[in-house]
Amino acid sequence: MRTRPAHLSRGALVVPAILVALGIFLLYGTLTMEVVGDGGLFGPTTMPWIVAVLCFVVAAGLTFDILRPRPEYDGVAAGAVPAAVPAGGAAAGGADDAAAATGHTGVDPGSPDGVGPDGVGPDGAGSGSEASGDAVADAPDAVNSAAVLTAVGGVAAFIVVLPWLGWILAATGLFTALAAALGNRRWFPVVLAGLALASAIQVVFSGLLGISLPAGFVGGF
Amino acid sequence: MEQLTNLLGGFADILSPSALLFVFVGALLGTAVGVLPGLGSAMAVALLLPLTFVLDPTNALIMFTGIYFGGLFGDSIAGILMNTPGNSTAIASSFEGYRMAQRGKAAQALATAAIGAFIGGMVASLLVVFFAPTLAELATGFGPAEFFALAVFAFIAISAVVADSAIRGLAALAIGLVLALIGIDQPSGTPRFSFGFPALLDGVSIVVITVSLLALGEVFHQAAKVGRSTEQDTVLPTGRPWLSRAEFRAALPAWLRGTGYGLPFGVIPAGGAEVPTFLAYGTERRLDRRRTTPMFGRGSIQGVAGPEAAGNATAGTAMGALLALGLPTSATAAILLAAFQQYGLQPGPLLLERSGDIVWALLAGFFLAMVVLLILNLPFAPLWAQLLRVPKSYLYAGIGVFAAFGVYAAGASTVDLVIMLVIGVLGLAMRLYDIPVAPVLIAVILGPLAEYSLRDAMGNSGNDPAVLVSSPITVVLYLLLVAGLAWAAWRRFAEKRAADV
Repeated sequence: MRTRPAHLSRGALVVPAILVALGIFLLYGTLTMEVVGDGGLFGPTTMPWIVAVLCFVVAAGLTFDILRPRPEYDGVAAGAVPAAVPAGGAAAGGADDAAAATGHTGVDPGSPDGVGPDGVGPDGAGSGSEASGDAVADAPDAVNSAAVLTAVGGVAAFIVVLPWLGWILAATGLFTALAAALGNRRWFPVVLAGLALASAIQVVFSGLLGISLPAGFVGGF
Repeated sequence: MEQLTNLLGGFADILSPSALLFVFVGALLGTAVGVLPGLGSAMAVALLLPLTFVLDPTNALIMFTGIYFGGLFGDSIAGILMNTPGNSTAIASSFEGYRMAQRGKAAQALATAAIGAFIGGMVASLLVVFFAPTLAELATGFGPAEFFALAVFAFIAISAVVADSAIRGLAALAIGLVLALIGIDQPSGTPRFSFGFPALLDGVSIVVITVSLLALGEVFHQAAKVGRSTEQDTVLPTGRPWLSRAEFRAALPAWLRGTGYGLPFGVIPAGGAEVPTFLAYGTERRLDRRRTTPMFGRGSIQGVAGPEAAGNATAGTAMGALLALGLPTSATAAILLAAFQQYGLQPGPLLLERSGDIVWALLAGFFLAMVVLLILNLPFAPLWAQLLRVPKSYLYAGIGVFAAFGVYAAGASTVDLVIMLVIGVLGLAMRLYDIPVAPVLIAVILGPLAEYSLRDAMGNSGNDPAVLVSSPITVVLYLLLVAGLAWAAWRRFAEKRAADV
């Protein structure tokens, strides 16, 4: 028995939810649309109606596809939410369909703390990724939410501070936040690399090619 | 032989130092993103779209094409040496390629892959040179009904025929169509779904959508995977990167067969090269079983040659379909179409007439790019593999910064950055739950074409739906679509049966 892959787990219901939200967005926007001129049968509201219906139909179909029983995964304990079940050599899980092997080719150790390995970057000396031995858990939907929140928060913070701090400082911050989210906590080289990249972009694209970037309070350079 | 004179004119145009530089840079960047797992030519071109604001169209487009082809050259390097294909297009050639590497034939596997990619791309480019003008001429008669049929064909083909799960492909298609609807409706001038935000009147810029979905979404996805280990067992190539006469003779038929698979798939909106590479792989395996000493499973040179040739042949004819019909058949082609639009050029039947000089220079660029790529890949493949040592944290942090820069440069607006964040999170959700990204891009690019041609066709005919199937071209397109759906259903059925046994 294998656990359900991520795209068939309860979490995957996010996607139909997004589709329903988009459908409602279209319905609301279409109903309140101020049509210029005579719309006619095939006016500016026709396509939104079609797409809205498509959203709802696909959302329904996808929900069914996610929730329907699948004997190959559920086994006896049907509907059990997949936890980190030790699956040993069966980690080659979803590889039965070769074309589906785009997403989950890697194997994942349960990531018990939910936080990246502290201190050491995942690729310190090139191939020095953490040796987790043979005890491999098949937990395809083990999402490192702390890392994701750091990355998303980093981008959000970048958007807020960009007008004040200017491109170079804000982008350095963004670089640092993203690198930290990806598990690199060696601040000094990271900040330095971020500063170098941000400055290089500023010089090449703003200086030489004339794309304008916000200067912020430092201004001038 | 008008094409040959035109092509020679194209060569004359691009044999300037600056154009050659961009061919080289494109090939270099393409190979690099091909080597690195998770990156791809689609993301690279998306990140470089802001360059269209400053570069001359020929140079930018030549560079982007070089990236497209280069991605398909580089993708097999990591697959052969480490069994981690750089892209889904290299999965098929990695099976036997990695086995060859384990047997000490890594250098030969890399050479087979590079030469295969070269042959596939060359043959496809030649075909494009000779048939694209004919195709474009045929397409000059296209009216709204034909364009609508073409768009519907692309939508259904990319979402339902190729994706592993039709419903997931359709979900992606719906998301793309919604994004395409935002902004002022061109025929009537009605503002749609902008809710009073002036920034939304122009719609969501294609640069913002592609960069957020492909680059930022991938950065978030990498963050989500932090803590999972990836096993890497690198085989470093030793010995001559050249093939012996016997090896060459063994690989040659497979290269040609693979090319044969790849060519038609470039014109079909099948989402890129995955399907033909697997078809080529399957064929080589079947042929291998009949040999006296079957090599599959122990590192068969044909198992590398076929899929690699198929991949680049697809890219070549995909460029032909893009230039002659304005039909993007893969994610990268969709972004290239966006690049053309940034310059006010509309790929399709009229492009050759109106901007023939750019098209022929671009086609000449294909050949140059192939040669440069072969030189970059044949002897230097082991060097490229060193790229895999770049720590992921630096790589993806850099990509994130570039994405933010690209989006800001596209419109200098904070609203765009917020949209970037939202679509980036959407891209994460799609990656986590196996929703393909390519249909979103095709829908965003072809959505307006589908809508406006439908409304034109209906308006011109007094809302008579029969106009949509009134010409032979539309009928043929819809019949092809039905055949494609039947084939996809049969393939899924056959796979399921094979899996049960």
